Amino acid sequence: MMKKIKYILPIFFTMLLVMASCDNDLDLVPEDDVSQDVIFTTSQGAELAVMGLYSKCQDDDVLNGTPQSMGEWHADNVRFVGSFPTFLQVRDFTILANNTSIEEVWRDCFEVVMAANFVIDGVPALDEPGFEEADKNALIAEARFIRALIYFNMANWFSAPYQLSNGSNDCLPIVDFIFTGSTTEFEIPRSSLNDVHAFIAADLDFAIANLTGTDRTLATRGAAQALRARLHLYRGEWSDAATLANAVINDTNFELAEDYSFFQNEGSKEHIFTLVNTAADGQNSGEGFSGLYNPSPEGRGDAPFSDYLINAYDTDNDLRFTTLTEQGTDAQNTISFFTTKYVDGITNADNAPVIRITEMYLTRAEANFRAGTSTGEDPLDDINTLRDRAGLADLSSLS
Amino acid sequence: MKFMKRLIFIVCAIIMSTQLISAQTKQVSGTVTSADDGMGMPGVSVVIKGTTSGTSTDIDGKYSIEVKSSDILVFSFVGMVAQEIPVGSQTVINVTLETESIGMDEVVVVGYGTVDEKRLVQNVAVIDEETLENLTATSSQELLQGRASGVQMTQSSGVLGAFSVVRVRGVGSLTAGSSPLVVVDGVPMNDGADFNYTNTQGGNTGLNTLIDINPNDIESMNVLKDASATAIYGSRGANGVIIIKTKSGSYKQDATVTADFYTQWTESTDEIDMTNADEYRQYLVDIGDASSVDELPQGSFDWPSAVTQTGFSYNADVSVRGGSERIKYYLGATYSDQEGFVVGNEMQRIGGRLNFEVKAKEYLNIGANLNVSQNKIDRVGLENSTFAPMTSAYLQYPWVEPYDENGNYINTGFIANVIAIEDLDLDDVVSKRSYGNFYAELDIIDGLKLKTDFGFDQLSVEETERSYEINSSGGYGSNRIVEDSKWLTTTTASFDKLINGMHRVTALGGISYEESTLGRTWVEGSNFPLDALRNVESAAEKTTTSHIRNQWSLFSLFSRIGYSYAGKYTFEGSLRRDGSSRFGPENKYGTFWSVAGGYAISEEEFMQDAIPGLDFLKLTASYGVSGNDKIGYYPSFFLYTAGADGNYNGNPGLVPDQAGNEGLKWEENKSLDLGLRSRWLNGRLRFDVTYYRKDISDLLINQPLTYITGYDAVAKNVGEMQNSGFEFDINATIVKTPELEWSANFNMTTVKNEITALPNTSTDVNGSNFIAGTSAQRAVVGKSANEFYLIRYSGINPQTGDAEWLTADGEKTTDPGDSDRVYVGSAQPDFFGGFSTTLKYKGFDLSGFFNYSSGNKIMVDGFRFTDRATATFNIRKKVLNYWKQPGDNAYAPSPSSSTAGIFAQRSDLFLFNASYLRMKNLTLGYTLPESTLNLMGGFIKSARFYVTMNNVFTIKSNDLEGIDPEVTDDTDPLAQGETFFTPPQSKSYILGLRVSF
Repeated sequence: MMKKIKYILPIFFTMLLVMASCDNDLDLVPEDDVSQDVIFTTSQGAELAVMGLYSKCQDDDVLNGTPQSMGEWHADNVRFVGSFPTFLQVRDFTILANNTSIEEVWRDCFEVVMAANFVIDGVPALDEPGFEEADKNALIAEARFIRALIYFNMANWFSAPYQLSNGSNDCLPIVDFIFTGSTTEFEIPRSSLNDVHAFIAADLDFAIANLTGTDRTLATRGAAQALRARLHLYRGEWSDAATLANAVINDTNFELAEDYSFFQNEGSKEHIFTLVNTAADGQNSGEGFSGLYNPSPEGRGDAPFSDYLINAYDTDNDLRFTTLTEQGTDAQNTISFFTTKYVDGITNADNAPVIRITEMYLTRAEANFRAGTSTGEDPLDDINTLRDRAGLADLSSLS
Repeated sequence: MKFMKRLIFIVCAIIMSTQLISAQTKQVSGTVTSADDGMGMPGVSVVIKGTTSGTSTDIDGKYSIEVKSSDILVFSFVGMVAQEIPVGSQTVINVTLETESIGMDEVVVVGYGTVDEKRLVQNVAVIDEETLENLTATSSQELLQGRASGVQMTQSSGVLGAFSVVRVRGVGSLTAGSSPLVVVDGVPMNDGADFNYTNTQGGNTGLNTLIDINPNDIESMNVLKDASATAIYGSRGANGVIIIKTKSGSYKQDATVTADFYTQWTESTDEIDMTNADEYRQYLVDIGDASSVDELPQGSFDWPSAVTQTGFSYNADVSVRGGSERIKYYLGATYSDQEGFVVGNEMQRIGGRLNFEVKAKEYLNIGANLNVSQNKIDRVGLENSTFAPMTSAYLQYPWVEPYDENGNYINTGFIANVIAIEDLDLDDVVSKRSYGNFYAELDIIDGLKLKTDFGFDQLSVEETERSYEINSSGGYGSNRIVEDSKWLTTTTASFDKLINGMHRVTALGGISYEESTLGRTWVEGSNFPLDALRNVESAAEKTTTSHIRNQWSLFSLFSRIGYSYAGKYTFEGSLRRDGSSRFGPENKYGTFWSVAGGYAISEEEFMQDAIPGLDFLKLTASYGVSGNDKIGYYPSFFLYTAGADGNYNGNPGLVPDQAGNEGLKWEENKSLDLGLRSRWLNGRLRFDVTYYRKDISDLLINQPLTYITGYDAVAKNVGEMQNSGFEFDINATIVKTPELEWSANFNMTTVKNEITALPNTSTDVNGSNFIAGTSAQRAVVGKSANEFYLIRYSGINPQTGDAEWLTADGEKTTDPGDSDRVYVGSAQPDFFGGFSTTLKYKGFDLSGFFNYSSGNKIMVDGFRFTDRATATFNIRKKVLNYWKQPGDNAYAPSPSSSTAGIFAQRSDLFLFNASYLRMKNLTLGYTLPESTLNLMGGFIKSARFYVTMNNVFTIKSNDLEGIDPEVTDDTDPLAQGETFFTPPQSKSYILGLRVSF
């Protein structure tokens, strides 16, 4: 019997050893998704995560038209003639707490914020030869620009304007940390508009200092400056607004377009930042720019011009009207005016313009006019430059 | 000619046999005594085998009978083992009869071993070879239905290869896998719980993922139910374990060849009564939708009849089993070609199995169990799909015809031309599977064995669809291949020793590693230039080109220790530690355990003869913990995803996709089992009753997160529920004589499923947390996992002709809303089970088998479409009974009523009591007597002819005309008891022959 054991025991123990070594195989990782731990261990992973931020912004609820249109309805620039009950509530200022469209804007925007936070949190610790501090900061700056842009938009949508109580009113919860599983850190109140603006300003200042690219479909220094100028303007900080707007206008990466054919041309220098959409990858719900603003049957025909807007144009001469509108069937089967800034109602491949150089002329003009200064240019000249492009006669004075 | 001669001889021989007997007789006498006390036994039947002539013993146990030398005498007495003695030259034959064993020395297969029934303290439902022998089934799960207490099997539909939902002691999970683990010869089978092997085609049921197990190869199926049985399977035991043992040969046994052939005719059991074209046209005129019949389309076609047929099938199984001194083997081959009762539904199976074992050395056995099979199913859609024959046949306007005037197929639009689809389109699933194991078993020292095995399960499922121009403009093609491959290795050491004749000690220790990889390749295309081009290669647009791969692995250590004292007291404990790739890093390993005890009270001195008729009585109790690991492949990770979600402007990117939970783990099942097992009347009556309670915790629930975290929800182990109930099993041999045997079995299971916690989920009007499984049902705290939540339909007001519903407060209304929904019943039965009876008289056997379910409800969603008073689809004939004038007791409202448009909305009007009693099977068999076989030269050992009828009748609610009460259109535990239009279980007639030689 002992003889047998001599053979058997070695087999058994070999078996045990084989088994024990199998233990490592319990750490299996997915092959078609990437674990977050892995992403921020290489510069390539970090760069892809930054590219993903723009992709997140392509959601209709973020930059591709849904919340932007809500503002247009509130402003009576365009009408909503479609059937979505949640949009009707927005149009009629009767928004209920269970309005899912509003909920989705809030959710989808905070998804972008958290995705940016992961970059901002993950990149500094990344250790890779040749991936220097400046490279890291450039990536972080892109994420902070995106975060600032989202916070800025949301601050406009979810709180009263600065002028109401000098920014002391409640705005948004400031989430500048990452989610790791626990929700207790997220039990935070809304911060004041001033605090949120300060948070945005800090992000933008970092972006201005560290952004290096010139691709107008991505975050650039000019784009950060432009957004910073907009923030100053909203806060009535005229001098800073004029100075930054002037700086952007003097940036050779941007230039006022000669006509209005630039909307779907991302190569045009008119754009400071434009979000590119393609048929395969872009607007996702039919409730974005292309879906809402195209007459049926290509689009939904939900958002035609209001009479207020039409009346504000010199409809015979204003090139913004004569070259940028069409008549078509709206959702209620009547013929209405629609914008032609977004023309692809079939594949929804229209770009979403986010910041244009035109805005900087208007910002510089308004800031100078209100401050009684003429940083860079006299306000009247800025206005007449734009009127000239629109085919309108010069004004002789501003009021 | 030779055969004819033989046949004539046989027939003559049978006719003349009685005369032959009386020709050369002699007198034989003797005494029959009992082995118990050596006393003569009066009343023992002494019969010449194969005849009815015989005698019985007198008061002293003496007998005398006239026989011939070639006769065999059969001595039998109730409760004693019958003896057969060839007469030969003897003139005095004395016989001692032994008490019949009461079936307690049978060996029961349990996890990683066997145990004799007397010492069994685990709760195991056994479906043994004797039960299985005369059953014809196409899937292994079918064998479970109604046969064992605690096991509920719901066949999702009557199409070939349909998925079956199997539950052991109620539903075990809400959002994770809820099917029991199936282990074939030690190999836990891949079951597709984490990933659908086949696309769904209407409804959310793929095909049966275990169709490749040939029922004819199965020797026994044991269902492990309580924790003491399942804890040894650790993180996979919580939903119960089904252990399948396939047939094997025996050492020193002559080869037996068994061939079984049968042919089968299959037809639909039930159809919904729809209006024909004339009735439908007249209806439209009557309700004012058309001014005259003539202005309506004039065609006419009976779609429901055209999509059903009598399916013809045949099946052949041949096996050889036997063994020599050192080798035993079982070799089985099967071929079957089946046709369903829905046009276009076919299944072909071809497969083989080889099980063998070799005594290589005195101390070493080696062996293998290997199965290779291919299963091809020509699928049909079902449930909520317009490409499903039985759905579109009901919905199609009855004036629509499938052909144009030239006899060519036409496209009938949204409600598709299902005849053209089934005739032309391709919709095939081919699964190829090889599985089994190789093993070596060493006898180390007396009582100690070491066994190591290497098992595998390689499955490839290829699904090909091709829809041609006439049915899908531009054509459509799809090819999807899923390959799920696993291998595992298990090494166990087992010890079994009887010490001093009183102390039985058993011990088992084992180690196992298992790894599985699933790959799915899928291409889809549209815009084909020609119908003749079959494959996606030719599609101008490739709409899907995708490949994905998932893996999991499991490392386990396990042990079981048993101790039994004098057959009276038995204790058993088991322990398992599982490490799984599925679990989060904080809970990589789980520990599972059980303790059990049994007290054979009948073995006590004081119990001897205390209760008349009692042979054996045992009380058992067990408690333990097992787990459910079917929580997905990578649920614990924080994940980023690529593809269209991450891309921007032609550049690849990555975006967050899944919130991780490092503590994520298995779902846990704490199970209590209290049992009583008894044998009465020398084993002729068996009565078992069990109380069980399963407290299931750590149920995987998606917990909503505040959106500022950047995520919607994260999976957490937070849900809790409880299943409890009783199980009853009664087996009785009512009559047992050498000529006549009549036995009956009955089982019943009660299940009460109650959700006890669903933290942070939505709350209903009562403040209870719930998860909505479908638009019609919820899992809700304080109630079951499948509570229908609907508005209540009240009826047609005879005065006004309006349809009326009830508000939440019970007031009548013609305009109910979502807030009027209330809980109106559960999809889960209160109790279910089955019973069977078998009568054997001489060579004849007659058996009937019934199964039943009570207290459950089903929702028939398809009626929301066929009962629309507005003419959107064809209507049920019932709808013709609409309100016409005051006083009418109508089914449907007045066509002019404001409620006409909402009459068929989702409400409890379409919720039905699905309690049923079904005669599942009726079989008449005739086994040729041995004497006849002998006359044929003894070449054939046995021959049995049989006629079987399946689904003979079903007793159910009258409202379920055309609807099978046994349905589910979804495998999701949260979406049971709903159907759109399910092809019902088929009625089939089988003619078969089984011969062994």
